[in-house]
Amino acid sequence: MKKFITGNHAVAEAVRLCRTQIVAAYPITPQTPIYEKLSDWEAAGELGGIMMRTESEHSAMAACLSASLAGVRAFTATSSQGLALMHEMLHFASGCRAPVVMACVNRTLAAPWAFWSDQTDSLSQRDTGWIQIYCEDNQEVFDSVIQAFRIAEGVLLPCMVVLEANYISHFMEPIEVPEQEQTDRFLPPVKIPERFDVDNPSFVAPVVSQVQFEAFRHLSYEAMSNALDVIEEVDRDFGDHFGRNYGLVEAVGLDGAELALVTTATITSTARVALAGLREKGHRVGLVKIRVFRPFPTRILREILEPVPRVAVLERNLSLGREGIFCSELKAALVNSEKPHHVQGYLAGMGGTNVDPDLIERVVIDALSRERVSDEPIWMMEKK
Amino acid sequence: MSLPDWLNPEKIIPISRGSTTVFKTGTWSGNRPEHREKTSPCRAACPAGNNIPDALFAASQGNFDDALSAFLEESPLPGVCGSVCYHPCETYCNRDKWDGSVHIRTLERAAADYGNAIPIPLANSGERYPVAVVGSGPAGLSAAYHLARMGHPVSVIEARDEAGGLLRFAIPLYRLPQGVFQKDLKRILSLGISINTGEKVGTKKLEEIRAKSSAVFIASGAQRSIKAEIPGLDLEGVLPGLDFLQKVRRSVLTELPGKVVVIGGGNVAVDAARSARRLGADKVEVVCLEQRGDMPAHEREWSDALEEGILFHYGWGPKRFLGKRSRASRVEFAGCTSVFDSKGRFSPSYEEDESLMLDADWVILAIGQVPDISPYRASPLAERGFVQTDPITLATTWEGVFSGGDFVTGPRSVVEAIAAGKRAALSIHCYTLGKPFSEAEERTLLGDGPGFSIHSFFHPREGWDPKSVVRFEDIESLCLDQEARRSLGRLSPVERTTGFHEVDIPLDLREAVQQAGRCFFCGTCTGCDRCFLYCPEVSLLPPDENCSFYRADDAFCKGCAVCAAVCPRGVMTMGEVK
Repeated sequence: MKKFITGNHAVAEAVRLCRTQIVAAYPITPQTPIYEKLSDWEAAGELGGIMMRTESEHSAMAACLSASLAGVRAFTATSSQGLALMHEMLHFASGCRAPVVMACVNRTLAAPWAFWSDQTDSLSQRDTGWIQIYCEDNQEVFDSVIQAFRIAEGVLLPCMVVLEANYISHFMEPIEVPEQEQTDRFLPPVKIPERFDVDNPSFVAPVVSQVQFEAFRHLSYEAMSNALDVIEEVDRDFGDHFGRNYGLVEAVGLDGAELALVTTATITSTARVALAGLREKGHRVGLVKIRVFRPFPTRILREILEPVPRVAVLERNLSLGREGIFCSELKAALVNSEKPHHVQGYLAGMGGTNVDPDLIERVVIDALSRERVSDEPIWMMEKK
Repeated sequence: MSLPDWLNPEKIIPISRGSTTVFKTGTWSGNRPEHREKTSPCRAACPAGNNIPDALFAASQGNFDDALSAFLEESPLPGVCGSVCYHPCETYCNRDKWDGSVHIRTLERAAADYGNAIPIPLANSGERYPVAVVGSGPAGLSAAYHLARMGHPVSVIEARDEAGGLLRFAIPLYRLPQGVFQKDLKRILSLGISINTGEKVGTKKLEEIRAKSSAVFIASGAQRSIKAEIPGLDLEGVLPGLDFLQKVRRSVLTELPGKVVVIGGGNVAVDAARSARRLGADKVEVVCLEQRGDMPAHEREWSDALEEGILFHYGWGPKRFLGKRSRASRVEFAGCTSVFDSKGRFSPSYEEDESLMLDADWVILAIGQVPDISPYRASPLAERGFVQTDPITLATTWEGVFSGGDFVTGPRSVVEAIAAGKRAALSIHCYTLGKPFSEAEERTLLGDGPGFSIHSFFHPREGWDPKSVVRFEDIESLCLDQEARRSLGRLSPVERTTGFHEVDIPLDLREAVQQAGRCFFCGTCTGCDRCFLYCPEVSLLPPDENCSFYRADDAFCKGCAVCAAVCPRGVMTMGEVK
């Protein structure tokens, strides 16, 4: 069934269809409509699971991971400051191997105080041990939430589905929403370890020795590494069920390309249009969309970029003192390639500014004509 | 299909179905608490070394038998000390820095009144070393008591017709009721000590005793009243202080009509004045050389005397006694400008122009007492004109003869005499066995001494450091209540002077329990369990059948020192892993 809904609403629809048993959350713009929609349904008796009102995002995640350890399918949503406050519990959820699913609506981190799209909040959680999926549009957000439960429960790691403020969260798009039975066939009832057994009491996550800690980290590392295969398998299976899938990364028009433009999330949609125009004008430029950031799809990126000499990374985030975070990650992924690439980083859309086809064209022209790449990112901001 | 490790629910996260005891947190620190009992300041201050904390803890539990037993560890005369001691213990009581010291002396008396106990034997020395004790005052009785506890045959020789020395014949009954002393005495004699009364000892007799004994302890006291060269001294009605007190105790003097002048500023003078008051004297005046603050008499005795209507004249020395028909009628005094010379020696100087004339039907001359060594003429004891002893061993220059108490030091207190008797007892014990006393003393010295514990020499107390004295700072004050020292019952001045009733009203049983409960029991573990209850690692083990005190579980104790911080009495002490 087609529905014309916002990205936030799409998240809520997916959460309900996944028969999520507990949603513990705390409101924060621009995530709040997810929370509100689920609350409305709970009030109307249409949610199935229960909402838990917590006093902070930190507590929300503590509740979710505890529920997950009890064998329950748990979900939360947050943004920006809320995610930052949750940080400590993100490590806990991952370390406890609790398959919690979260929707993170990218928003600028204060200061200055603002509400616009910026990926730095979720990218700041890079090392918390969460799977991260960056979505391009409302449909992908919806589909990724459903996939996220199967992925998370399949590898016993938490999974974050990332959507951008306003461009997705508050924009309405027509999306395909499957029937409950169809969803159930794809996503079986939750079956994860139940850690709280009153007949066999135990202390979960007690203090461990140095040697034990290292061993648990290694198992988490293996789980995250294996998540790449699981994500691909879940995505393929999703395609079989629903006729749509996304891959770890998506490559468009790379055959014979001189330049690959690498994007994530909503900038990708615009880039598709801009690059189609450029190719018509004879520019040999292809597009690579990175969808899964953690685990980082190193092998596949290296393979698809192998024949492409120039790479431009255009992104809406910044690690101060370095560059765009995807750019750094990509450089690290390519560093052992047989043939070296020229990789140039570009920053645009920071703080939610518009990234239009003209801007993307300028990025591509610059990247194609550039004699030498700069180690510094190139700011594409409007000079006023 | 078996799950890979990274997905195996039993392997991916730590789950403890045992307990945290797998973590040997004891390896985290080299610090360890030690259950180290210490000496309370009261005990360190007590010349007799009384085990006050144990005694008061038993009393606080209503167990006066054990309280008495604890006092009897170090002293044979708890009833006597509980009545007359000048209680240095209370001066040094840590509670004095909180809300007033504990009534230790009065509680010792309560233990003697309400408790029954048999003194704990110290050793079984057999019959090989008979010891003779000359004098049955507090020093003699103390030596005899402890020697008997060590198993030595002891015979006491007493010149008077009854045992007790000044306890029996000098200290007035209003300070020491006869029954209290008799109860102590009976307990002492129950140890099998024989007393031969009415037997005077001199050089010749002592030679005989030495021949039959392994050692002799002479404790004849300081009983010779000093007689100044004052005109009119031989008038009727002029009495030496000690003679007067003895006559009162023997009921030779039962009334004292007329005016009484007591000369002297010490405790004997005040005892005499207050006794005279009770014998119905019309007027009692005390005249002393010293100014008010310099009088040797205890403050309390002086203020009691004032309350009883006794007048004091300070800074006068007797010039002459005047009489009518050979009986004293007046005393003339000269103004005393200083009592001691520039070198601190007793040498009063007078302002002859100033004089005081007092009417007196009775003059009691209590200007001091000295030991009487005249019976020991031509013996090593009398070589220097006074008895010289080694201050540690109390041995005299006469082989096998020891001496102590007032006979050596001149007049001191009852408790110091008791201390000297105890010291002599252990010294003689070591002497008979040919072992150095200094080693025994060193092991049991309380604080810096000179008090020591004879009980713990024979029954060592595990984990007790007798030299370490608990300071007020070592007491954990957060757990303390305020319960101020209250003044105890006493007879009113009118009630007192109608007879020789005891001035201080003994505590009743309920009050005694309550007052004993104010004790901090400094340095003595009472098993309060605070260290055990507060230990965050549950690694402080309480006493059990294998160990009599609290100790750290080495496997788990992190050395955090919480137990030491919460110990209310300074017992738990931080040390290092052994």
